[in-house]
Amino acid sequence: MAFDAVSLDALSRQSKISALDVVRLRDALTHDGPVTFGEALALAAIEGSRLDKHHGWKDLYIDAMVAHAVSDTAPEGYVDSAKAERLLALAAPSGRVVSHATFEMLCAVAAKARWVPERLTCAILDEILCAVACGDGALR
Amino acid sequence: MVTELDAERVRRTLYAASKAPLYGITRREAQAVLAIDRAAGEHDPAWSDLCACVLIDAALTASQLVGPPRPDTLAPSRGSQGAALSGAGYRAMSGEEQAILDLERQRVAIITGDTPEAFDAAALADALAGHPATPAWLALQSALRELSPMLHPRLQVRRAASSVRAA
Repeated sequence: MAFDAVSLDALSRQSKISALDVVRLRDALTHDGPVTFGEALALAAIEGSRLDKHHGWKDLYIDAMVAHAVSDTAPEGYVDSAKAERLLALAAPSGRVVSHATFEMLCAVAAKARWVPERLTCAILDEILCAVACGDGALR
Repeated sequence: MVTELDAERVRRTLYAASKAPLYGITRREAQAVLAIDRAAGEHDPAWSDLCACVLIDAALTASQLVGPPRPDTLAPSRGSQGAALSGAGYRAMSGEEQAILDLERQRVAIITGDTPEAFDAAALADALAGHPATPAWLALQSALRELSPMLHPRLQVRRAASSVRAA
């Protein structure tokens, strides 16, 4: 697990994610093991929450989710259909992407992976379509 | 409204989705781009340029041609000089290249379970025929006229027919 030394559950109960929290999370991400699905789930929950987050959180969140989706789960380097479904369940549980950082995360996963399924590419394009058609959501 | 930033997001997404040697725009990607173009009330010129390039690439791919990597074909601010709009760099595939592409598709399908498909020429022609006359559609018709000798017969545009549609 990447975040052995940091309780993500405790973080989610704080009133905010501070600069120190981000430093501790970044250190754990760099030095500890792979990011598990449970940790990805906890990170996505924090991102989707109304917690006040330090500006360093966004990059940390994206890097951790990219590591989970691309390099820390098999098939390594690829996002297969099953991974894409799990990732979209975290990123867009209601069908719409939950935040701008989450949209950036999906783009970063697509850029980093050696292959992403069309399902993921089209989910990103669909979010842009919704923003264009309805003028709302994470991109407006 | 579809903005310049939206165009850049779509461009970045399409770059990321393309991995060597599978560069051609797929059917689902083209359908998503058509949907955005149809949904937009106002069109930034950057979007119309990108949209036309994407659809020309889909048309050339549907005509069994292979083109340069997407960062070349969909590059911004190249207008009518863009690789896709001018057809530059597109050519018929040799039997060996086709076999390599088929093997790569099989490899990706085995690893990921994903089986991306190019637009069938007839289906793309039908999709374009039902599309409103947006700025991208008009640029596309102009490019299709210029590139007609390279295209599948269903995608070739005659000057008179498109003039009527544009009007």
